[in-house]
Amino acid sequence: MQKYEKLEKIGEGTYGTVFKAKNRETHEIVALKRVRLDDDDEGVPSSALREICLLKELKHRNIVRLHDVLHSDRKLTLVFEYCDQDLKKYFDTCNGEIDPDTVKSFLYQLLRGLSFCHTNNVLHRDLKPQNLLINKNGELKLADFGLARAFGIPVRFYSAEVVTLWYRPPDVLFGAKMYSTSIDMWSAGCIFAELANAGRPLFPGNDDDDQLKRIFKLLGTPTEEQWPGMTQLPNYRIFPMYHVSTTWQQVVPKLNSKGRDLLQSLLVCNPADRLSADEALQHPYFADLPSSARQL
Amino acid sequence: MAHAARKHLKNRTSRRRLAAISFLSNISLDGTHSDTRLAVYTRKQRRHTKKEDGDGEVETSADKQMGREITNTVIGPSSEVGLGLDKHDNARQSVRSTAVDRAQSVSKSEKSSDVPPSSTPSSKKRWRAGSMSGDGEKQAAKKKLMHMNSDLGSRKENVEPIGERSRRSSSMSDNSSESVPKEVRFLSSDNQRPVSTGRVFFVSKQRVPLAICSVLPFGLSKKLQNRQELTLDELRPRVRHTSGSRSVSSSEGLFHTGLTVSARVEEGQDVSYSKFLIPSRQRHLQRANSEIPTSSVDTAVHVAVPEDVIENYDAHILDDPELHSGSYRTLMTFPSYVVSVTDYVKPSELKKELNEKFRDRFPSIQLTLSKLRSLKRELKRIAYAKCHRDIWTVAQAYVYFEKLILKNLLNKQNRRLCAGACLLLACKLNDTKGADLTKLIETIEDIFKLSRKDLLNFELECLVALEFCLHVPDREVFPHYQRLLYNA
Repeated sequence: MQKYEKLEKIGEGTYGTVFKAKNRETHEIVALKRVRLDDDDEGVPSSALREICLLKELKHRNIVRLHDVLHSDRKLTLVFEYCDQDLKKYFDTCNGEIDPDTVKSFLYQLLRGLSFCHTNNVLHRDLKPQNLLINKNGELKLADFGLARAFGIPVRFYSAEVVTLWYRPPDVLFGAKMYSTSIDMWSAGCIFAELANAGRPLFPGNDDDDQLKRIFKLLGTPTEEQWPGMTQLPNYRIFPMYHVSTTWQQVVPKLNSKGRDLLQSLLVCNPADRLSADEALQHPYFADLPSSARQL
Repeated sequence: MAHAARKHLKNRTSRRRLAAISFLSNISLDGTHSDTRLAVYTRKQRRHTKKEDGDGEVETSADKQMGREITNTVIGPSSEVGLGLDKHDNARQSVRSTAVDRAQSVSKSEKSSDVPPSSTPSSKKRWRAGSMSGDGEKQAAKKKLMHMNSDLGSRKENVEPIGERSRRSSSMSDNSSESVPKEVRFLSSDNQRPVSTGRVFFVSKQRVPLAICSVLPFGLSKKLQNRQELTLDELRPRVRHTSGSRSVSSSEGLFHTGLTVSARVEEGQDVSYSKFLIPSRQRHLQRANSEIPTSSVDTAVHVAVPEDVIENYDAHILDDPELHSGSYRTLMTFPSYVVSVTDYVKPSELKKELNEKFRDRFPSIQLTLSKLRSLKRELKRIAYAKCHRDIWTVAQAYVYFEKLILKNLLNKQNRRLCAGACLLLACKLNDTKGADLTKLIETIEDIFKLSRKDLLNFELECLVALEFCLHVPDREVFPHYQRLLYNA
C-alpha cells in the first residue's frame, strides 16, 4: 500500500476491514476495503466479486464510486470514495429531529440511486441505513453492493437469504425466490419511515415470524385476493388476521399527507403492487423539492 | 521453324503445368492451410537456360535481386538437383516420366551431386553451381554454406516472401496469391535441417516442377502452425500440478495463459486495475426486453478476433449453430416449405470438417470447435446435472469462457482451468454460496481434474482477463440459454 496512507479504521465490512486512508500524492481521502484471498478458501469472496463487477458498471452520483482495485500479494484492496458517515450514524447525531426537507432530499437521492441500479439490471438486496452513506454536502450514496446481483428476463430463482431482517419484504420472508426490483422498494419504504421518524426503525423484528407479525399488524394481514400467489410461497404459513388499527398519521407523525401516500405505496405486501423507483420519483411528494436538492 | 515451334509449345506446356501445380499445391493436403512453405527451386533464371549447353559449369542467377535473395535467405544452391536432369531431359520428356520416377531420380541426383557451390571471386553475390571449380574454393563455399545453414537454424525468420519469380509463376494460376506472399525456402543438397512440415517442390532449372512432396505432421498440425510457440513450450519443462510450491505451478500456468497478474503481484508490485473500472458501453446496460434482439447482431464481424468482437460479443460467433452438419446437408427451398436433407456421415469426418471450418474462421484460436463444445458440455454437466445450478448460470459461464477464447487467452494447458474458473465466477454471481459453493468447487476439481489452488488462482486471473466485466447484458447470455434449454 505505497499509494495510500492508512488513517483510521472505519469498521468491519462483510468481508474485511474498512480503513480511511489518504492518497499520498493527491491527498484525496478514500475508504479502503481489504479482501483477503486465501488459497484453500473459496477464492474471491462473492461479496467482493459482486461489489467490483457491479459497481464497475454503476457510475452515478448517488452510488458510491469504486475508484480502484489494488491487487497485492494475497489480497485485493477496493478503493472507494470516502463519505463522512452513514445514515445510521447520522441518525445518532441528529437527536431525534430531522428537517422534513432533509428527509425528502435523502429519500429522493435514495430513489434516484436505486432507479439507476434497477435500470442497469442490478438489485441491491441489502438496503438499510448503514449502507447509505452521507457526506458533508448532504449527498446520499448507496453503498455495500456485497449482496447485490443482476436480474433480468427470464425470471429466475434467486436466494431468499437476502436483506437485513428489518428491511426484508414479506414475500422474501415467506421464502419467495422469484423477486425483482420490488425487493429494494420495500426496503426503501422502511428507510423512508425511519427517516421520517429520525431514526426509529419501522419494523424492528427479532425473527422471521416476529417480523411478519409486525408488518401485518401495521398493514393488515393480506389475503389471497389481495396478494394472489401468497399461499403458494415456499415458507408460507398462516398468520392471524390482523386488522389495521393504527393510522399512518400515528406511524409517521411528522410526515405530510403526500409523504404518507408515497410511504403507503411503497409498503405494499404484494410485490406486484409496490411502486417502482421511477414511479416513486414522480410522486407529488417531491413536487416541492428544492432545485438545490435535485442538483445533489 | 520447328525448333521455335517446339520451344513455344514447351513454354506453353510448362506454363500450364505450372498453373496446374500451383493450383494443386494450394489444396490443403493435411488439413492445415499451410500453403507452400518449403520449396526447392532451381535458382536459375530463365534467361540463363538459353546459354547453357552440355554438362558444363552452370552459372546460376546473377542479377542483384537473386544475389540478395541468396545471401539473405541463406539458401544453399540446390540447383544441382534440377540441373543435371535438365541437361539431359527437356521439359517434355519430364512430362512423360512419372512423378515418382522423377522424384527418385531427383533425390538420387541430389545425393550423387553432392557438390557445394563455388562463388565466383569477382562477386560474392554470384553463385556458381558447378563441378568445375577448384577444390579449395569448393571447400570454402561449403563452409560458408554450412555456416549459413546453421544460421538458418537458429534464426526463425529465415524465410522471405516469395520473390519475383514465383510471383510471376503464381500469377499464371487461377488462385494467384499475389496478395499473400508465400514463404519459400530453398533447400540445398547438404541442407542439415529436416523438412518437418510443408511442401517441397522439385523443379527443373526452368522451374518446371517435377515432383511435389508434402510432409504431413502427425496429429500436431495445430502446434506446428505455431512453431515458435511450440519451441517455447518444449523448452519449458512441464511441471504438472505437483505438490510443489505455489509459485511453480501458478507461474507455469500463468506463462501459458498470458495472464500474468499473479506473477506481477508476486514480484511485489501492487497492481492497480483502475483502468478496468470504466463502465462497459452504455448500451450494454440497456434493460433487456422480452424480445431479445438476436437478429440485430453485428454480422460484419467475422474475421479474426479483434477487440470489436469481444465488445460486441455474439454468442453465435464462436460456437456457430450452423456448424453442425457441415457440407453434408442439402437445403431445398420449395415455394411453401424448406427441407434439409442431412446425409449420413462418419462422425469423425464431420468433426474434422467442422473443426477445419472453425479453424479457418479463427486461425489464431488454439482450440478446436469440438473441444470447445465438449468443454461446454462438461460445464453444463457440472453445474446443471451435478450441482443443480440453473441453466442461466451455465449460459453466463459460457459467455465468460467464450470471451476468454476470443481474447486469445486459451491454450491446451489452461483451457480446463479457465472453463472451471468461468463457471465458478458465474455461480458466485448467481447466489451460489455455502455448501453449494463447496460442492461446486469440488465437482469442478473432480471432473476437470484440477487442483483447487490452480482453480482459485485462475478464478482471479479470469476475472482480471475479463476486465471485471461479469455483469454481462442479458442479450449476450440469452442465445446460450436458449440453446441449452432446447438441447435439454
